[in-house]
Amino acid sequence: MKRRTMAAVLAALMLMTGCGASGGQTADSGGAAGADTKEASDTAKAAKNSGDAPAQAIAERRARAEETGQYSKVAMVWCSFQGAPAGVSRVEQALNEKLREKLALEVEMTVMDISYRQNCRLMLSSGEKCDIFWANMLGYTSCVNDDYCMDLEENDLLSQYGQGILSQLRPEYINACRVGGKLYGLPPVKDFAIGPCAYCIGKEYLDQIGYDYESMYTEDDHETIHTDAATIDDIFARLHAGIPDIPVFAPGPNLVGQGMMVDELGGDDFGVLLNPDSLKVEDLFASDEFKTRISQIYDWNQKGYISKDALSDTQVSMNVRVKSGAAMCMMAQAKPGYINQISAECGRPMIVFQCEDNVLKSSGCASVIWNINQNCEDPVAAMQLMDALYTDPELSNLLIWGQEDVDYVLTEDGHIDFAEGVDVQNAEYFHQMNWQFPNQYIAHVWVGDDLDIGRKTEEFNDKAVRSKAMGFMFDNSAYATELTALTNVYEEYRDQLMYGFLDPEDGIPEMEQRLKAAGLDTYIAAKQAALDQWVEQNGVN
Amino acid sequence: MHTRSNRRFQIFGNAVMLVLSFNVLVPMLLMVSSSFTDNDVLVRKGYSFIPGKFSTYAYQYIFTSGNSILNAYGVSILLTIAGTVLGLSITTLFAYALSRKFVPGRGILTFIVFFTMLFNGGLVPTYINYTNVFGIKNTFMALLLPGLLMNGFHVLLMKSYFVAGIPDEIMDAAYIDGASETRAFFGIALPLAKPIIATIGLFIGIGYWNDWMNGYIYLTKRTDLYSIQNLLNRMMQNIQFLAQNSTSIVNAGQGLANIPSVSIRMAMAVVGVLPILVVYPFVQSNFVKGITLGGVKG
Repeated sequence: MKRRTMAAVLAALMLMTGCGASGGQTADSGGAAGADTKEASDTAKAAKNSGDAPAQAIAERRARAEETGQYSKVAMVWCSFQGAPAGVSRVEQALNEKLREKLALEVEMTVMDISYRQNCRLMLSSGEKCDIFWANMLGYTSCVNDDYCMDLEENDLLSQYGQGILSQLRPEYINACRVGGKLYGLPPVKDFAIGPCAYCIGKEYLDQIGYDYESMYTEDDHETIHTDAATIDDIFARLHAGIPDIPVFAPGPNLVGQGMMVDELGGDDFGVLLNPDSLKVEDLFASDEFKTRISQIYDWNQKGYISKDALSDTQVSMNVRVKSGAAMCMMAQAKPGYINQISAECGRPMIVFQCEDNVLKSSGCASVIWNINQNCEDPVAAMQLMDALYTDPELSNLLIWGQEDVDYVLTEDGHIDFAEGVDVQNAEYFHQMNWQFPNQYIAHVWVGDDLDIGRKTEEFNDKAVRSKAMGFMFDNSAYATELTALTNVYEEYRDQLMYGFLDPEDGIPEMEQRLKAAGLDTYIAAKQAALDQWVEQNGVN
Repeated sequence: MHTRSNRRFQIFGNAVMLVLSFNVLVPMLLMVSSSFTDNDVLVRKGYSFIPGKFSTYAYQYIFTSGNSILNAYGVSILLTIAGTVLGLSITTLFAYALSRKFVPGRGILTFIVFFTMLFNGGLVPTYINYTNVFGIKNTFMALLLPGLLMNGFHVLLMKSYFVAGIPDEIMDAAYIDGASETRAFFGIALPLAKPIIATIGLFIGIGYWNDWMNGYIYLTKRTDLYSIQNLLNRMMQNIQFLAQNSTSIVNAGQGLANIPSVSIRMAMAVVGVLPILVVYPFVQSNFVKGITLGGVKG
C-alpha cells in the first residue's frame, strides 16, 4: 500500500514536470500510463534538466504496471557453452523480485548454447522480442551493418539512463566499440589489456630439472615472471635435455594475436601496426618480427621440442595437451589471476613466463559486447536494466553465480564456493560465463581467485602499453571479397608455419607472394586510409 | 566342373566379403575401444585398439551432464514414429490422388509439388513463417512439421509408382466389381504399393531420426524436447567451441578441465549409433523383402 502511494506521488510529480516542460499539455494519469515509449522518452527528454530522468522513467513504468498488473519485460538473450543452466528460471524469478522493486520491470531470459550464433541472428532478423544481446558472438560489425544494434547515444539514451555504466567504464574503452563514429554496443568491465606471449610451463617439470624460477618473481608480482625470448630458449633446452620423453612445447595457431605486440586493428592479421607507437599499417608477413617469431618455432621443432603429431589433430587444444602430459609448455596471453586459470585448465600447477609487455588495443575491448536491439520497444527500460547490471552487486551476483545458499555459499574468508551437496556436475547454475557479464568484479569471487582481482585487473589495464590506435576498428565490410581470398591463402600456410613445420625461409616468401596476388596491398591501403581518417577525426598523433 | 567353379566362386566371394566386413568392423571397433580409453592417454599416445587405460568417464560425462540422454532417446523414438506415420499417410494419399487421371487440376498440383523440390523460401523466411505465423517455436510440432513431414521428391516417386506399377486394368476391374473409390484405394492400390510405401517410410523415418536442424533452430527454451541427434550435436559443438577458444575467452577453467574432449567424440558416436545397431537386425529382413518384393503380376 505504501509503495502504491509512493508510486502515485512519483507519477504525479513526473506528470507535472513533464507537462510543465512541454508547454502545459494536459494529460491525465491514464494517458500517461498508456503512453507509448516515444512519448515517454519525449517526456523524459523534456525533463532532462530537472536531472532525474531515470527515476521518472521508473515511476512511469510503475504507474503503468499498477494499471495493467503487468510489468514491462526486457528480453535478454545470452548463451552458455554448457547449455542453459537448469536453474535459470529460478534465478530469473529472484532477479525479477529485485528488479520489480528497483526498476519496475522484469527480465525475461532466454539462454541458449552454441546454437546462439544461429538462433539469435534468426530472432533478430525475424523481429522476435530480443532486447539485449551479445553481438560479439554473431560478429559485431556485421550486426551493425544489418541494423540490429541500436545507436546507444541516440536521444541521449546512454548519458541519461546509463550514468552508472559511464562511471564504471572509461571513455576510451567505450570508444573502442564505435563503428563509424556511432556507439552500438558496450563492453563489460573486464581485462581490456592483454599480456602477450606468456609461456605456461608445468611446475613439476621445472622442479624436476631444478630450474630456479622462484628468484625470478619480482617484489610486487608473484603471478607472472617477466622475462625474454632468450630465457625461454634456455629453459626449453634444459627441459628437453632433462626430460627427453615428453615434447616441450604444444604449439597453437595463436602466434600473432596472443604471441606478438602487434595491433591487428580490431580484426585480421592482414595489415597491422607492428608496435604500439606506430600508426603505419604494415604487412605483418614481410616484417622481421614475424620472421623471428616463426623462425623460433621452426627452430624448436628442428630441435625436437615439438611433437611430430602436433599438426595431425589441431582440434585438440594446447591446454588439453599439457593436461594429458603430451607437452610441458604452451603459450597464451596472461592477465591477473591467469596462473590460477591455466593451472585449473591444465590440471597441474603452472608457472607463467611472459616475454612481452602488457598491451592495450581495440581488439581486446570489443571482444565482448553488449547491445540493445534496434527494434527494442522500450530502450529506456533496457538501458536502465543494463545500468543496474553494471552497478548493482546483488543483481550481478544473481546473474553470475545464482542464489546464495542454494547455488553457492560464502566462505569464511569472503570467497564463495559450491553450496553443500553441489558440485560441477550437478550444479543448477554454474555457467562460468562471468567474463561475458557486465561487471563480474562487483560480484563475489570464486574460491581460487584473489579477492582483489577487480583492483588488480584495473591496475593491469592502466599500466599496459597503449596502442596509439586504441579505439580504432577497421570496418572490413566493403572488402569482404579480398578478405575471403586472403584468409583462404593464409589458412593454407598458417598452421604449418605456426606449428613450426614449414621453413620460414621458403614458406613466408611463398605465402607472401600468393597473398599479394590475392590483394594484400589493396587491403592494407584501405586499412591505412581508414586509420588516417580516424586519426584525423580523433586528433591522435 | 560345375561344382569346382562354384566352389571357387564361393571362396572368392567370401574373401571379398570378409575384407569388406573387416573394413567396416575395424573402424567401429576402434571407435568403441577409444571411447573406453582415458582421455589423457588418447591425447598423449593416440588411438589404439586396446585401451591404454580403461575409463568410462566419457560415458559418465554424456549421461550425467545437463540433459537426460534417455529422455532424448524417448523424444527421438516418439518423433520418428509420429513423423513416419503422419508423413507416410499424407504422402501416400496425396500421391495416389495425383496419380488418378480424372482428378481436376492434377497438372497444376503436380507442378506445385515439383516446384518445391527446386525452390524454397530460405532459412529466415521459413523461420519467420513457422514462428510468427504458426507459432510452433519451442513445441513438439517444431520438430515434426518443418521440412520433414512431406517431401516433394517422395510424393513424385510414389506417384510414378502408382501410375506405372498399378495398371489401369486392375483398377477398372475393381470399379466394375462395384468398389467405391475408397475401397479401390485401400483394397487394391495400397496393397500393391507396399514396396514403395516401405521404401518411402524408411526414407522418412531415417530423416526424422537423423534430423537435428529443426531442434537446433526452433528449440531455444524447451530443452526437454531435444532429440538424441540434436542433443549430441549441441554437446559436440559446445565442446569444440570451448576447446578451441578456451585460452582466449574462458576465465574459470574448473568445468572445462573435466570435459574429456577427445574420447567424448567417440562415445557420442557410439551413443548415436547404438539404437540403430540394436533395431536394424529386426527391421532388416522386412526391409529387404520390401525392396525386392514388387513387380505387378498383371
